[in-house]
Amino acid sequence: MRLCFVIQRYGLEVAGGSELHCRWLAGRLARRHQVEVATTCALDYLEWLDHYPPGPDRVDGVPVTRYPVARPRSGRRFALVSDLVFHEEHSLADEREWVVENGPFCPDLVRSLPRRRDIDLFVFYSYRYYHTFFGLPPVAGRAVLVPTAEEDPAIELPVFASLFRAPRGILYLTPEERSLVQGVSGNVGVPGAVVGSGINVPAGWPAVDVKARFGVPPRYLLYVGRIDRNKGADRLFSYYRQLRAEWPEAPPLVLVGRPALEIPVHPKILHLGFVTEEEKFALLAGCEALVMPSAYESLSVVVLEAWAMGRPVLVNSACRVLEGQCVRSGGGLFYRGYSEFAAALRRLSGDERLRAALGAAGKAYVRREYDWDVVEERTNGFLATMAGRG
Amino acid sequence: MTEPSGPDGPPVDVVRIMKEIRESIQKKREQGLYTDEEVESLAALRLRAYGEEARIDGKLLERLLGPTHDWNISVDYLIRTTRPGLFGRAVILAKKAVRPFVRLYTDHVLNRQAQVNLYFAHLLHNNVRETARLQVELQALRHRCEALERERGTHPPR
Repeated sequence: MRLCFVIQRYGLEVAGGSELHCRWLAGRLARRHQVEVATTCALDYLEWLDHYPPGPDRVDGVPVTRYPVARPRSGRRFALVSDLVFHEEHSLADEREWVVENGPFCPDLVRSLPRRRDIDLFVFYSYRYYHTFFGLPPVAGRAVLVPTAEEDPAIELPVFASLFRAPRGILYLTPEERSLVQGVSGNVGVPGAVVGSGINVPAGWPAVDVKARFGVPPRYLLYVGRIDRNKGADRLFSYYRQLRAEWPEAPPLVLVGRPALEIPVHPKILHLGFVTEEEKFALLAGCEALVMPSAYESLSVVVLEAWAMGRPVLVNSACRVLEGQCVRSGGGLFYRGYSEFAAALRRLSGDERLRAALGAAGKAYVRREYDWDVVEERTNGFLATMAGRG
Repeated sequence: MTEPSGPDGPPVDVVRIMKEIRESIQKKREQGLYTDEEVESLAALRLRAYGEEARIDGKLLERLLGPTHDWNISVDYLIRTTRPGLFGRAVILAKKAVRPFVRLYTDHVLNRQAQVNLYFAHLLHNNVRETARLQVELQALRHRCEALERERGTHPPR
């Protein structure tokens, strides 16, 4: 098969969840198919400013074609249009304008797709962006969508319902994502498969001594990801401070990731910033539990990574995907509000056998459902069917 | 309480563990023991009920109860028109040309009004939250009194 992945940004420096999924999957499928990537020159997702040079490139051996972003995102205009479509009476034209303002505004990329008659299937990543919304319909008969949908207000915009009904097929990351998309668009007739994502554990992680390198204490809770209000980090800080006030022996909280909000100065909150993949996995392997406070996740890779390292997780119940993963795997507890957060953490911290049992269940679940060979087989089988070669 | 199994044992029933945790929290609530966040939720319920009573637009009510202040009036606005084609573009150009002069007179008034709105919203939210907190405290004290009375045998058990 000749496959073309179409995504908002692509490169080794890009850390976003859907971009990482795309890079990993493209890399795996490139071993058995002709795979290429069509993307923009952007690296930053807030303004979509051009970073990479336009034209052909190669990432991890996969050919990539980059198109320049015609107009960077205006924060002011995007905020005004968002305010209109999420809070006021508005039309479908306003919603289309929201998609344009959301960007990355890259008409060259969109125009290039129908000309590619040699491509069997286009795999579009993330429903909410310009390249998918305007790029998918002209090649809908050869398009597979990976929506990476979360339970945020954008999914309910009526303008996306027709997009979800348009493609030849849809690859979902979790059963919850499929229910969400089918619920808002009624696209049950569109063939779909829940494929998930594989986990890449770097070989060098056991050589990393995180205690010596970062000075982390023997017992700690871990948060990995963007330290952002959208990820629930502000709520995590307030919960943790309250918890420490009530329970001074609570394990310290170690944070890994880029801060997009001020991290409170607290003797038991330790921010490590960016770490390498090896360091991240060593930190995951040593933590008492990974805490994931985000309410908006289409698939939290770091939760799967914690399970791959045999560690339990504590997740926000407001995110159905995260709670669903915990219930299916038996690998973690889930909270709604501070009382449950505190009680669940006390339960986890005070019971080593429980932590070990949850971690083991999570690990078995990841092996069963999220092994790359399994994910690749599922994806490959689905794509072959979509291309009429199943 | 559920006994956790070891790593080689049967899988842990996480739903049951969370049910136990939720039941123990519910017992505390019945005694009037609420956390600040739970008092906040009670206040939010009350604020929502007042909004529904006043028949405020549902979407606006959601924003009024949300964590941000994006419900407030703003001096900035989108310039739009429903007219299509060349005439529509001309209308937008005209509106853009006039806007700086209009804003010269309206910005300070709207800014002042936004500040007043914010102040009153803050005042009312805090009042409702304080009332909810006092009611929770009162409930806890009632429970305590009843428990003491039961200990002294002066009050029949409920």
